Amino acid sequence: MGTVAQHREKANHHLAFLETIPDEFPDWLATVAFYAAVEFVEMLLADRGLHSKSHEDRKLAVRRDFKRLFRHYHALYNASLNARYEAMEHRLNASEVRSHLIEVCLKHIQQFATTRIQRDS
Amino acid sequence: MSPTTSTGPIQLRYNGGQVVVTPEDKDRFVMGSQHAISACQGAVAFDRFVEQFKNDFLRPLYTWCCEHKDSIQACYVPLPFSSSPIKVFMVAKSAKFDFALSDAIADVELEFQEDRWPCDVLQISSGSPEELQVFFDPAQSLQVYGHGDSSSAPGKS
Repeated sequence: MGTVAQHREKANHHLAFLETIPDEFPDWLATVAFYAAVEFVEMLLADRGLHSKSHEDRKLAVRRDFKRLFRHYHALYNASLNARYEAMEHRLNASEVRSHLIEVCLKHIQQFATTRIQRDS
Repeated sequence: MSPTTSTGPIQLRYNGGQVVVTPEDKDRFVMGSQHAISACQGAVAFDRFVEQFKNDFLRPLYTWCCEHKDSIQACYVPLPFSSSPIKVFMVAKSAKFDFALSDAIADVELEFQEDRWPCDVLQISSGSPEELQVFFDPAQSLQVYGHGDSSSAPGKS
């Protein structure tokens, strides 16, 4: 079970990697964006002394405790899953991933988590 | 205990001793009445659960699918239902991830959560049956909605 600081460090690590992924890999853009969101959610949970053991567990925690994030988290979870498992022809392109999943969904989760944790500390 | 040939209901009492059970295949067995009562109670509870599941989960899910028919091609619930949350797969009409549908799915998940039916609803893109198999087995699933088949309304099977 990580601390808030450890999850923040991991989230920043994923965000740094996200910056380096070229447009030919929208599936990996979506996947890394989702894992960054996972770390922001884990930051929020760690702040409450909680920790999730699986994707399902974490999704349930967001649904229960952070309803305002749920649409964005759900989109990242679902779109990244599809990016990993669906055929290439169904892939979102890099601009769709960047403009929606990263700029809207991930940014919203990031802002919510950092603001909430600053407020609580 | 009443004989099995009785035309009225068979009385099974917790202190009734041994019960001889004769199933359809005639593979007869004996069990204590308390175990038999537990089995009956389990069956009643299961029937009640199935009824509740149909009324409180499948019917609203079907209605929701109908309301989103412009975006959804089919909806499946894989069997058997394992532990909570219940898995639901929405096959989108779009060949790509549909962000508007994603928001609607997130909202319906929240509604089901509030109604005490936690579920995990996933949108998958329209594709061949082989492509669906990556996520679940349609042959081993309950088709709640889809493919223009109005008889797929839950409870009509």
